Amino acid sequence: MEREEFADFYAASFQRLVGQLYAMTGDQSEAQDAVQEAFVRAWARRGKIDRNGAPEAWVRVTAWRIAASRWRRARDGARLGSLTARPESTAGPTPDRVAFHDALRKVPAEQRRALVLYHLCDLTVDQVAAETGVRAGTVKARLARGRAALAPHLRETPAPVTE
Amino acid sequence: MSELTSELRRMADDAARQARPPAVAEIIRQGDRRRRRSLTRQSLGGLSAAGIAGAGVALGLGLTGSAPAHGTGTIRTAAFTLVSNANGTATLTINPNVLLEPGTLESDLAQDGIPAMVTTGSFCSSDPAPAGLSQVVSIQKSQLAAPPPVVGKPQQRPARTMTINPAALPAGTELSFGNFQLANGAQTSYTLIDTGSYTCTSTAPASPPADGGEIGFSSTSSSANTSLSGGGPS
Repeated sequence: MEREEFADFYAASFQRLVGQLYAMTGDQSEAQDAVQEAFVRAWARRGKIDRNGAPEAWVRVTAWRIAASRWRRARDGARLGSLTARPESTAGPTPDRVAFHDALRKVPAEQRRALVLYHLCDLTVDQVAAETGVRAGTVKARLARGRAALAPHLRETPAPVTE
Repeated sequence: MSELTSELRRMADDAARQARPPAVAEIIRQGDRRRRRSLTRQSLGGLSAAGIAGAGVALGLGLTGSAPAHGTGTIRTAAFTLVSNANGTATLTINPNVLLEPGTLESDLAQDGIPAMVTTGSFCSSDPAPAGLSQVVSIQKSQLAAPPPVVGKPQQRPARTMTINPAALPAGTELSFGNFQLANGAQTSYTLIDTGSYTCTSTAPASPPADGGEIGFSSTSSSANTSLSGGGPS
């Protein structure tokens, strides 16, 4: 990947990826930091990305790993608490939306990741399985559990998972 | 679209709008540094595997060519020579006939306390350019003559020399070198940039930057002349 191509890729996908990571992590600055660091690694290892052929997925996976690694380091610290229990600070959301965001934060991280990849990134179950390194059955189970946890905060009954 | 998808999308869109992407040049720069560190670690690992004694012999002999030779205050590569002076300045001689390896020059300048962004195929600058370039960079007036032409080979151009005084660099600035391989030869443009605000272009400057200079082929010339100018208003 040449510099110009990388610059185009960066401009086109940075904000989208921050949005996706935010939905996975519930922390805006963590999402931005992780995506930024993932892009630095992407440029440093661009040969690998060229071979991989899916640069956006590579950056997303790397950003997730960076964020997850930070969680692990902070597992017993205050930061994890802030990630899972901090109230939504975005200006002006409705109470329903605040409740949904809080509920999403309480969903276990891997379930939340599966929900975001499937519902937000429009990946298929098999693609989610490939990106998260688990079997399709595990993805389906995570989606089902995650959606069940969020169901009280949604007006509609979630549609069944399709392949 | 399901309600869950709508909610997730709304969350993500809000977060995406609030995201503040750093300049891509900064990402690339950090990535280049990361890559160099990684290569250095690999190289040191290789040396370790080969045996420190053998490596010591090789270094003691003083490698030449494209491998930098450290230890005497002079770093010599095919593309440039960097001499550390006793007064804290450094003298950089660039061979305009050879394309620079940006990481090598950048890290060697850094060893002399000169923060620089060296790029190949792009040139980074600030608008407006920070003042003070003429205090930081001074160009050697007397230059070596070009080597005699060799039949069947491109005209070789003489090396060019500048003295850099890192103590004169204004706070928050660094030097930017942009190296281009053009159809008619290599060209290196340089200027002072504000590290907090700069942009990079992949187009070689057609003329020396207003607040910078250029080493290499003069694109306004129809023959293989060299140009060297610099020290814009400061």
